[in-house]
Amino acid sequence: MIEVKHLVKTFDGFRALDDANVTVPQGAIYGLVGPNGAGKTTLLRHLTGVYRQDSGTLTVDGQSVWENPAVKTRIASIPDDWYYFMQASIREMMAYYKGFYPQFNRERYEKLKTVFELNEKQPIRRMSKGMQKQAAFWLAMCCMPDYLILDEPVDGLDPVMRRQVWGLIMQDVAERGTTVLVSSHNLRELEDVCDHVGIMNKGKVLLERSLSELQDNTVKMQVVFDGDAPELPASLTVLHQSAVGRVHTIIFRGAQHDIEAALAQFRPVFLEAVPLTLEEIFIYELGGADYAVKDIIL
Amino acid sequence: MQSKTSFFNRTVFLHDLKRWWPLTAGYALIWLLAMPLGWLTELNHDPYLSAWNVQFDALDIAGNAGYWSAFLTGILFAMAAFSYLTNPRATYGLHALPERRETLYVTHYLAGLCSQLAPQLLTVLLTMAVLAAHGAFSARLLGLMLLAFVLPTLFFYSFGVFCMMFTGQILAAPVFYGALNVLVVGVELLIRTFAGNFLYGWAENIEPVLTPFSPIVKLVENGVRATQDTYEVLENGVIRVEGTQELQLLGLDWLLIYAAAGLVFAALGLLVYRKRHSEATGSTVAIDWARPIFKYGVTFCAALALGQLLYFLFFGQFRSNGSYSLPGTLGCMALSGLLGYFVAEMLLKKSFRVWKSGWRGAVAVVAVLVVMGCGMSLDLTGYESYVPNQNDVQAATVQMNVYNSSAHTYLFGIRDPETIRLIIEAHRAIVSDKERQLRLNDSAQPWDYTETGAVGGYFSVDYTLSDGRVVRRRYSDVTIFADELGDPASLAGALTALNNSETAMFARALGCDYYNGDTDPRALPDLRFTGGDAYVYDNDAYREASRTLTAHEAELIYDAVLRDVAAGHVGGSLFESESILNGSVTLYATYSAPDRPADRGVSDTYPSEVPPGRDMVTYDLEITERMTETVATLRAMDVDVTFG
Repeated sequence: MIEVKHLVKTFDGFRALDDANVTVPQGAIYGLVGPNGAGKTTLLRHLTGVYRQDSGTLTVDGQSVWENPAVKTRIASIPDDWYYFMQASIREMMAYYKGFYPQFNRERYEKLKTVFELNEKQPIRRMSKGMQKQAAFWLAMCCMPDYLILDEPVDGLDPVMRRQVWGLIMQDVAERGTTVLVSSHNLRELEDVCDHVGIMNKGKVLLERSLSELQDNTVKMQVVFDGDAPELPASLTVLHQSAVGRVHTIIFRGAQHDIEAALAQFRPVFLEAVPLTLEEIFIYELGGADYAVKDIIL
Repeated sequence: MQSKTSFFNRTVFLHDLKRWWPLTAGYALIWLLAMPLGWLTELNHDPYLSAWNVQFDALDIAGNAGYWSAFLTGILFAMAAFSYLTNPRATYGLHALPERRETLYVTHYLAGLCSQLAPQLLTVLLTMAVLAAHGAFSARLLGLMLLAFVLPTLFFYSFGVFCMMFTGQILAAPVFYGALNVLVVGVELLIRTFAGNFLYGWAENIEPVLTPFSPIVKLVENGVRATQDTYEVLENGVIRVEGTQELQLLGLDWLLIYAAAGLVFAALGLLVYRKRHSEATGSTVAIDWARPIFKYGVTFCAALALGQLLYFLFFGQFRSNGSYSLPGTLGCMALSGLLGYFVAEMLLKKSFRVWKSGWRGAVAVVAVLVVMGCGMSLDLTGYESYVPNQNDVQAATVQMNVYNSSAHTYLFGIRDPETIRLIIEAHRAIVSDKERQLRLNDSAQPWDYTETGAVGGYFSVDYTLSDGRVVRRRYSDVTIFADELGDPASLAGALTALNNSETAMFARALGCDYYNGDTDPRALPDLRFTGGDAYVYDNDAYREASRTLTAHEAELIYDAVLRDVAAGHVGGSLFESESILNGSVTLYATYSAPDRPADRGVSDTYPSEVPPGRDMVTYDLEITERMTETVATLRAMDVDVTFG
């Protein structure tokens, strides 16, 4: 389990992480989402032992990550800008990784050769961005990590390869109990793979729940009232409200049956709960945190 | 569970060696061409070179080239080893790997060091192989050559690594490295020049004392070369040279000191690396606490260096110490300091927009410079007016000469109370005359006595006080007025009194004024003249003659000099140019020196016939036409003296 408590990190006076708290359960695929500059990458760099926090704690299975090779050996990461040596080929990087990860699986390396279909002797710098990403996956998967930290992992991959990569990750999670922490802006994709989600903004984690819990706790209702829309009771938490003609679309936070019961008191002509996507939850949650799409005419 | 600390990662080490092999190979190629191939060619060309000469030259080359190449390439290997710290992707990539900072540091450090040492080792071994084929193999030479290479490499490479720890910009590393190698001496000289602008009597022409903290300067100054002598500095400052039969590496002591310092720098580098933040990559100065040091250091150096250059160009070209334009020097220094401050701020913030955020620091900088300048100007420390009490002075050295005149007094290590009193009086007269002297210095003065009734002169004095402190003062343009000669309290009077003192006359006549005061014959126990040489010429008559003087003749000449001194024939006016003997008269003497071992000399030219328990002294007489007793004695010995 990854536990981050009250993490603070400041860069030249800018508080990139401001009392951030994250808990990633063992074996979970945890999606970390948030607007640009929210602090996601900074948080992930702490988890890989690159950054040292100003304050707060960060543990993996109860042990600090900072300067702890025993823990870091169990973590593999693929940052957004994966590093390889200028002249290195995949094969050379494999040899390099083997020197750090004692559990590096050469057999898996050979197996994955058929999946990625890359020339392992070609200098990595001559590969396309997508191919470099595949190479990073190839090597990271062979490190047999217990924890996989991914920052925009499938950026640059074609749709087939995306599915392929996610398939491999899911397989590792299922078979080896690998815990995955993934940061991405592709909410549609995360929705398919994640079982836990954390939303970050301005260095803080606004909320984190299991995906089902999150979806159960946010309800999108389409309502047609007889006449003008009534004033809704204060007990209902409205995240967003809009209307097209007489059809009102209202996003509530709360349990679906409680909200339906409350709305039924106004005897609506039409009342229906519509499934809410992760993207919508993201947008409406951040809307409450002063981060919303602004209506502007150019 | 925290893992056990390991300091070495084989994969990283081997990968490093492989990654920068072109640098290693290029370095090896240069050395192989320079040393083994060079020797092979030379020995084939001249097979009759003696083994000793070959060994000597080989060590000489290794000694000189060893530290220069270490200095020039140390930073290159350090940059290769830690270049990843200047690239964010590389830093994050390597720091995310499961290894401690200690392991990464030590492994990269060793890889860089081995890459630099391996070509050197190969060069030395191949050179020795070539020399062995010529019959010039020597295990001692092998050891000394290895030391000549390894020791400076250890220092300069480690220092380069230390510099790398402080920056996240690859191009800043060689700049820091080069600057820090000469910084201390540079700043010392700048501060001295700065003080010299303000302070009347500032002794600016003394050797820097902080040279050991500027390694490359120290090594160049000290020299690292082959020798077969050993050198020892005696208590009285004389360097004793002792010949040995073995090859020595001169400067080995400093190489050892710097190598030890290199290990300290390597350890300090590790401490800095452990504290260094990964996100500092790309910063000119990567360590938080070093940033203000960098900023104000650049400011200070810019104010001193550029400020003084500007001042010199605009105001100070024709001024002497203590004569200055306060607004001019403060303005130039403040302007240059501000320039340095904002440039440093731009480098630190990587932005040109630093005016708004940096103005407070800029104001502080200007304030400090103004306070420094005004403090110097007001002589708050009392430097200019200080003249020691006679009771506090243990010894004094004075040098005085008068331009366009033969008057001069050079007295070294004087302990005689009366002479010290005269030196202090002369010094006090110059200090009292400060305002007039500076006024005169501000405008060009013709030094023709007939026009101005004044002459210029130079006066410097070094006091060794009872508490061990040394006080130095130099006055380069002292104006002396002839119409004040009658007033003993005036500058002219005080300088004349010193010039005509018995000690000064005695030293001048015997020519022992250039040496340590210990050569004063009156102070030497059991002085016995052993002989001398007289060489005279007469250009007008196209005649020259030389002869050897016996011990007795030397004794007679010495007695004649004493009579001339007693009769006041040696002194004179500061405004006169006396005629001096065409030629030279040298007297040799020995004196009792029980501590001097019989089996060694004190210099290369030391005569071997000096008996055990005695030491030798030489006097080159300065004979003027007015020294009638000496002249008559010489003529009585058939030495045909003329004057010019």
